[in-house]
Amino acid sequence: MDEIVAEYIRRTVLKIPRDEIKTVLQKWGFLSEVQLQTINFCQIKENISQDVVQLCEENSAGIKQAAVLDIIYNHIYSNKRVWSVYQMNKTGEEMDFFDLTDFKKKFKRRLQSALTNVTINFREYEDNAIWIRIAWGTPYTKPNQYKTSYVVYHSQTPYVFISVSVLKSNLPLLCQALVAASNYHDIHEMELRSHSLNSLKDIVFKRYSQNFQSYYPRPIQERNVAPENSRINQENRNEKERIQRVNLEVFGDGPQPKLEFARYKLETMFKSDPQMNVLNKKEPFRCLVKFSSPHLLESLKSLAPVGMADAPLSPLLTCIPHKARNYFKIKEKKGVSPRSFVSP
Amino acid sequence: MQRRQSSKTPKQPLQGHHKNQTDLSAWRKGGRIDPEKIVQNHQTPNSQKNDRQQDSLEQALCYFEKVQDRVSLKKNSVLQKHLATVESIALQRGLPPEGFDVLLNVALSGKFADTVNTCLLKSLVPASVIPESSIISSVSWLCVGKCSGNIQLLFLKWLITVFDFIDHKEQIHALYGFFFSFLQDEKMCPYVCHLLYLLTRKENGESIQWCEMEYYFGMQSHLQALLSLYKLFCPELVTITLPGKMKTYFKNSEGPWKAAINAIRQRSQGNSPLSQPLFLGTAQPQSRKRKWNTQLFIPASSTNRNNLEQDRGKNHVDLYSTNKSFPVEQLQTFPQLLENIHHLEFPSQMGSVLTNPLLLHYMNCIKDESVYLRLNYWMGQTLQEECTWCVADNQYEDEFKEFLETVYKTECFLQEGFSSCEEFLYKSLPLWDGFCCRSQILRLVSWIPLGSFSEMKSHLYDPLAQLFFTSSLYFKCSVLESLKELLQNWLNWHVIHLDSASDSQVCSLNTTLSGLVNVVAELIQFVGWISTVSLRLENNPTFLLYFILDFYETVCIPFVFQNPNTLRLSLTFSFVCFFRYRTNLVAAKENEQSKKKILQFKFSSQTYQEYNQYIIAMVGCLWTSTAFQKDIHPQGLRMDEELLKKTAVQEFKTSFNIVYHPAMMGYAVLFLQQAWPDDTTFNFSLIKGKKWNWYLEYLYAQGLKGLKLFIESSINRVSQASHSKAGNTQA
Amino acid sequence: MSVLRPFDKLPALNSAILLLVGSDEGLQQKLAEAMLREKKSFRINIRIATSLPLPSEGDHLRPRIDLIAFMIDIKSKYSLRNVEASLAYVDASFFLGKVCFLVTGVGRLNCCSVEMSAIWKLREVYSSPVLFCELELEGIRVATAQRLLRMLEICAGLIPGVSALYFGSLMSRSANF
Repeated sequence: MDEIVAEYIRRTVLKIPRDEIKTVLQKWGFLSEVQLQTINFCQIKENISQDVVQLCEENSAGIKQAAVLDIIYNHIYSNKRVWSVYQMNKTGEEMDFFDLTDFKKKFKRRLQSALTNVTINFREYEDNAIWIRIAWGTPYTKPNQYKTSYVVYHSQTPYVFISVSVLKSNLPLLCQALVAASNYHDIHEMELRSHSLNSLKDIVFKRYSQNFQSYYPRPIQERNVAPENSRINQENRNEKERIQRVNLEVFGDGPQPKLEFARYKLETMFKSDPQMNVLNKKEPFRCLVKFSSPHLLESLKSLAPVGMADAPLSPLLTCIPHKARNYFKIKEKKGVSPRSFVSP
Repeated sequence: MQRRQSSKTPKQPLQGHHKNQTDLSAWRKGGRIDPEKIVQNHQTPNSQKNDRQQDSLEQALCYFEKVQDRVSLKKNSVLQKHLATVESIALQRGLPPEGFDVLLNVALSGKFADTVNTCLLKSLVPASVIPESSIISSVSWLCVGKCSGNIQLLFLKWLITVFDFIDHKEQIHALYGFFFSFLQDEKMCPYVCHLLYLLTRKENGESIQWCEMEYYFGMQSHLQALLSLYKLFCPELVTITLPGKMKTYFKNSEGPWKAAINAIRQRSQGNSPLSQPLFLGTAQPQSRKRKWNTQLFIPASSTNRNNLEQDRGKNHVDLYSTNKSFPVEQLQTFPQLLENIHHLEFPSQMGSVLTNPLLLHYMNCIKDESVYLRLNYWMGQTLQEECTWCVADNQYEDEFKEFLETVYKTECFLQEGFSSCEEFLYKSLPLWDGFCCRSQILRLVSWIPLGSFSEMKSHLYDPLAQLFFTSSLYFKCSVLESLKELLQNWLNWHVIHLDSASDSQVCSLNTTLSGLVNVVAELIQFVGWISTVSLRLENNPTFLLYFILDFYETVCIPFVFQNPNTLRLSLTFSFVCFFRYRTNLVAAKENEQSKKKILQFKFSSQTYQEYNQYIIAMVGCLWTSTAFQKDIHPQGLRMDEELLKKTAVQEFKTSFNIVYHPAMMGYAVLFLQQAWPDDTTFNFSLIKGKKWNWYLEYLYAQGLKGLKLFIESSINRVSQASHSKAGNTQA
Repeated sequence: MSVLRPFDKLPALNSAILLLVGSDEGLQQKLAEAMLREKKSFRINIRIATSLPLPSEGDHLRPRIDLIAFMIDIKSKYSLRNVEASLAYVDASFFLGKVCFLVTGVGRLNCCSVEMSAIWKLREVYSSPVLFCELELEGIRVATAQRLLRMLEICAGLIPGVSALYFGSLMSRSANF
């Protein structure tokens, strides 16, 4: 077995938490159940990984098997990567039948025609998702298995989730290959990024709980509770209800998709009397605001109810799931009121 | 820059570099024998793991020692591995003394990229001690200037943090001038100042180098701190005046190491009782993973244990006669203290002084200002930075209380407040909720030196009053108690100082004496004000009255006071107060008459007049049953007849005499029961004539000594028979 | 929008009414409960409002308010702005001893986002006392509840001889002794 493959498998095993190694290996299915039983999973990871490598050696594993293991690892621990959503467009309305083998073939051909040294692996999952792992090389060097790009493509949708490798220069090539393989016309980034792949899917597939004016204030039982009997009275009961209602309208009542941050770039021109001759540069002022939280949307949702902000929140914050983006650029509209919000 | 032109060439082998090469395995073996050296305790289940760790650490150190050329981290998995090993072991159990030389040499030589160097420096967590030689060679690397500015800064921060872990400091002291020259580097200056602050000894202050200081720099706080230390050592050399108080001297330069050191210490304490001797010199039980209180212990590692043992073997006289400084952690007995009293070397963690009785003795008898300065610096830092004192993370509150308690005890022992503590109180009292660490804070208040009125008002009186008026009766009493102690402490301190002042011919104090008295008068006035208000707010509870009287009894000892009028009624019944008051007045008058040159306070004739009016009023109330009448004072006890009629009290004239006064009525009832056992009508009017005298005797017998003093001193009883004819002494 | 006045209603017998204004209702509720648990010789009623003005539909039911406590969370600029905006709906005569500022979050000064000078300024401008506390902590909450009750008792005129005005003058920084 190739030494590179052996080392790669070893390191991949090392990345997995010890308690989970066995399950992952079972999913991988490359080692037989009998072989797995020979491994002592209670020893330290270093030793487990060596045992695994030895067994792989017996089965003479290649880079293909190693890559599959990596895909499985990344599928389970998808939140270790940052995912970015891309959307593809079609020109015509033609509905063509999606053929997986055809897709794979086209994709591979496209990439390999441009780069000879590239490792491409596919793996399909139940939810129509195709996981593609690409390890990039250059015409003169072998593919770097440690700096891979991942693509998750749902065949019936125009959305692609890409987790780029450090080698960003290959991204245009990857996009071209995707468009070509899936018979689309072009592709663009949606400015939506997160560690949580599933939340991204929830957002673009509109699977998160949304509220389409379906909510009406609850029957007025609460309000009828005679407040004057108690010794603590809420003066702003109505206001509170309003906040809850507004919040529900904006965020719905289900759990929010998980995003870690939202970034706003503000660009504004300095306005002054031209005669004062102050800063009449053409350069705008730039300002970057980044909201980050382990669970951004849930935090935003609770801002108004806990009294840390007015309800409703600024649409700039609440539009994140609807617009399916968490990177914004705020610019002045030319000739219109200076503070309006324009999407680029 | 000067230091870059150092003659040292980078290729030249560094001193002590190869010496330690073979020491690694020695450490490993030695480590198992000597559990004090390696903090990690060797328990059977762990030992295998430890072995492996030691092996890999050895490998890593060998690698770092041998590495020749510039290696990039990205491409070199071997380097990555070794780096990870060093990092994890350092954080887990600290590095052995032998490791520092190797790692410092690598990190400062610029062989690797800065990321690697940073990582190495951050891993330099000592398990026991750091050999001095490794520091020396590091300084030489620093002079060569092979490493980047950031690495230099990081190294300095590290050095400050682990200063007490260095086994010797003699040679480092020899490098004082080198460090001093680093002051010229703008970025390094704050840290170098801090380092010099730790290093400076008396003889350094005498060096001429400091002169350059003034020339080079403006008054940044770090330089100011260093200068203030120099000024203490050689006041004649520092010409500029330094502001008296400083907020924080140095920025916190702890970096990542302190947490790691503490973590290792905690772990080792949890694991093995053997490692406890690491902290010496305290009578207190071992602190339980306390954040603040761990700092109260002297880190024994600041001296080499081996050395210590060798020293013990030597002839004591020999050792002590040398001019070498004596590290405090070796200080065990009182005779030792006496022998070394002039060359004690204090650790940078001055907090250890607080729990060491011997060192407290030292501070008490040797007025070593530098020790005070350092202690104040340390304490200010600890109080302000480490503990925003009502920390919402409750876990530390108990420790903080314990720490404040220790500070208070020290203040009591030294009979003096710390200025850092005062500053802390001034800063935090306005934000205090009156609940957190209540008793500790109020106790510390009692050691605040009384300062100028405006300062006291805005920093102490106002915040205290706000809390006082809104808080419970118990809190009010605690505040009064604490203010009483504040006054007492002030008096004690000044009695001593006035004595010493009058002994010598120093009479310059005289000029400030009135200022001092004003300060106290203001305190008394403040207490009078809050007492009056609180009596009104709380509806005259006896409990509160007790504390107020307690305060005024203290006041009366040396002072003539002017208490607010409303208080007077209540105070009227503190006979002790009045007796003392009288004694003082009489004494003062005698003093004036004899014109002795004694430091006493002058009283105006008005004071005497007022006193006499009080006496007349009191006698009128208690004795001659003429309350509310013979009182010409505009704010006195006199009341209009009309008003008195409105109260519908029939016998108002007698209602406050010693029979009818609410405080005495109980006694009167008991007296009646004994004198007329058959009479159940409680006819108080029976107490008159001879019975009045019996009653008085009865009251004296009940232990009302204050009353006795008052009546015997203030009332001239013409004959035994007549009670109505009473006069009063006119002082 | 109606302005709150201290004397436009008759007081109720042996009872005191506190109005807590602040954006963090959770803390207000906890504080109010702590106040109710305290032993006291009079009846209390605590009104919790997020901001002023109070909704006018409850005007006729609302009793006379004896003390308004504005809560500011030192960690939230929003809470300060909310209080500043609400102050406009308080009649000037309320500031004669019947208003106080309750500043919470002192236990986390490191997360402080309100400048202390803003607080001092409020105290000067509205000549009303400031109470510092950390309501997140049970013990301090109880102590603060006791302090508020004390003030409430005075403001409701339940302590003979001590009026709200007198107390207010005691608590003002310019008080001299």
